Amino acid sequence: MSELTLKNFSSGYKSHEKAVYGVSMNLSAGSVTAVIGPNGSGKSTLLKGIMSFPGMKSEGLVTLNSLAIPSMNRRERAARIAYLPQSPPLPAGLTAIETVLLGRFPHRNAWSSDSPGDIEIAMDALEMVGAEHLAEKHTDEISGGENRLVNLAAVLSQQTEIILLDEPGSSLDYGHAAQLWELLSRLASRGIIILATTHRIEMSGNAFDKVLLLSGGKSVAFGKPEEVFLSGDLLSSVYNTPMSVRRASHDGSWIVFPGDSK
Amino acid sequence: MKRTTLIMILLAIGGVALSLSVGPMGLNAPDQVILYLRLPRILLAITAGASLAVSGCVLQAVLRNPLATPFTLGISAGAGVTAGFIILSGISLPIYFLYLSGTAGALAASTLTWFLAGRGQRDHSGLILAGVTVNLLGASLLLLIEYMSPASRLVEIIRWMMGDLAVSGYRRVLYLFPFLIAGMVPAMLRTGTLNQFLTGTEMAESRGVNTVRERFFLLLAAAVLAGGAVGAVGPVGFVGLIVPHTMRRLVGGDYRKLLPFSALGGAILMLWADIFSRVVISPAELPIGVILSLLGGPFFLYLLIKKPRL
Repeated sequence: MSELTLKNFSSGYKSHEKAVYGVSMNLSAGSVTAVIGPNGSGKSTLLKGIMSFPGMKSEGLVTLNSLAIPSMNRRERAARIAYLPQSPPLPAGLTAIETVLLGRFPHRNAWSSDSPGDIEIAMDALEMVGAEHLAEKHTDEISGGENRLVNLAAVLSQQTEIILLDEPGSSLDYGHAAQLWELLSRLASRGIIILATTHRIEMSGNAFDKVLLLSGGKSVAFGKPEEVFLSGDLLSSVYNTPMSVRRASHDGSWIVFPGDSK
Repeated sequence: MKRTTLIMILLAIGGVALSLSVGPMGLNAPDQVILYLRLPRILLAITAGASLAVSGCVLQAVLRNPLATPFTLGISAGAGVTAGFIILSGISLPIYFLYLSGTAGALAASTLTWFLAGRGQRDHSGLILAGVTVNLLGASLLLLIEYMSPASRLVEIIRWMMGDLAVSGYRRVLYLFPFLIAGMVPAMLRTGTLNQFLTGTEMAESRGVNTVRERFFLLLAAAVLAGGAVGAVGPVGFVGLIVPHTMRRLVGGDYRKLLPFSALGGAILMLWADIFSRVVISPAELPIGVILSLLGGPFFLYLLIKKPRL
């Protein structure tokens, strides 16, 4: 069973100050963890730091099954950890299925053609996100939200133990957002570790197993969603606006109420 | 796809056959004319065209910019300055030195662009802006050289800047050959990596591409290809723009297909432009750079207006 561990982990850009400090958490296989916090609180910086991208510096420990991620070579890391940025550019001139097949890159050499196995994996991934009908469309012929799904399929076709997603639900409508979080829960139940940033607690049903709350680059709370959401005025003070979170009694999904609604 | 392949092979074979039989003496030309004038000229057109097209195609993926070509990155200006300086100096050097100075200028200019843009650390528009800066700098230096040149040399400089495929013997082709191999082999081995660059640096990096190193090697390969070609035939433009975009329409954006097809397309374009340049005001010749610019100018405009798939 895979395990992603952060111990007193800090990361930031080499070029400027913006950073996230002292995050400690332990994510086990089969769990969905949400990273929430106001704009600029360091959510994306945290994900990029875990990926140890060039241009990032980090301190502290980040390990996958007690192997330090920054010490892995790129290909080895790519075969085990996938990452979906907030708004990756559209791959010009490629069709949706070709875009999804790009996710098979870590599993073969740099010029070889797509094997029947690769194509099957890619089609399965498209089907999982409900976008198999887009397979032969060019990425510039489909909408922003549909491209989001195609990119998600590309990440799935990478077949990794961990998937990091930066705002996967942005630019998705209510229906697709609900499907997305349901899909992420389903992936987690197969033993994948999911770590996703989000601004929309209320769009995610009850998909989260754990929540990390960041504020100003610092880890404010980490725990089960009810511990973070329901602990007094924590969210109101972090987001600097009165708000309250409740749980729907019928399906356990989270509902956010703006303003003083006590 | 199969039809495109067939048509392109026919165009290539037809171009070679036609080019072998076109000239002031037509089909009655003696064997020497065909063997030492026309055949090396065909080989030069093919190698230079393939080099320039592949160079542009690589640059467009690595910089994710549809208008990126060797010329927008300052390579032609660099070649113009050094070759212009050699011609102005009037030193009688073996002809290789003219080629070599063109290539050296092209490589120097692309290196300068690379460093001005912060060695690829900065974003893509940074590199294009640096290329524009280097181009302007080179163009003004070339103007200065031209101003200081005596009339006879001025003609020579201008003639070289317009592109020249006229050869006798195989020296120029042999000159270009090492550059072709040194640039083409690493580029062709990285077609999958080029595909990854299409989705951006972060995606590419997350899938195991060492983006800083690979970008450097690919830009180097593109510079070597363009530098060699510019040294051998002069700074002819637009091949690196017209060919990749046309091929993208015909065979799609997957670089594993696009790059070899662009090489073939570049060879065909250069071959046919050369035939045209020899027949249009026969027995005189029109410089190939003039023909390619007449084709390329409107094409550039077309790309600006109709958003291309890149």
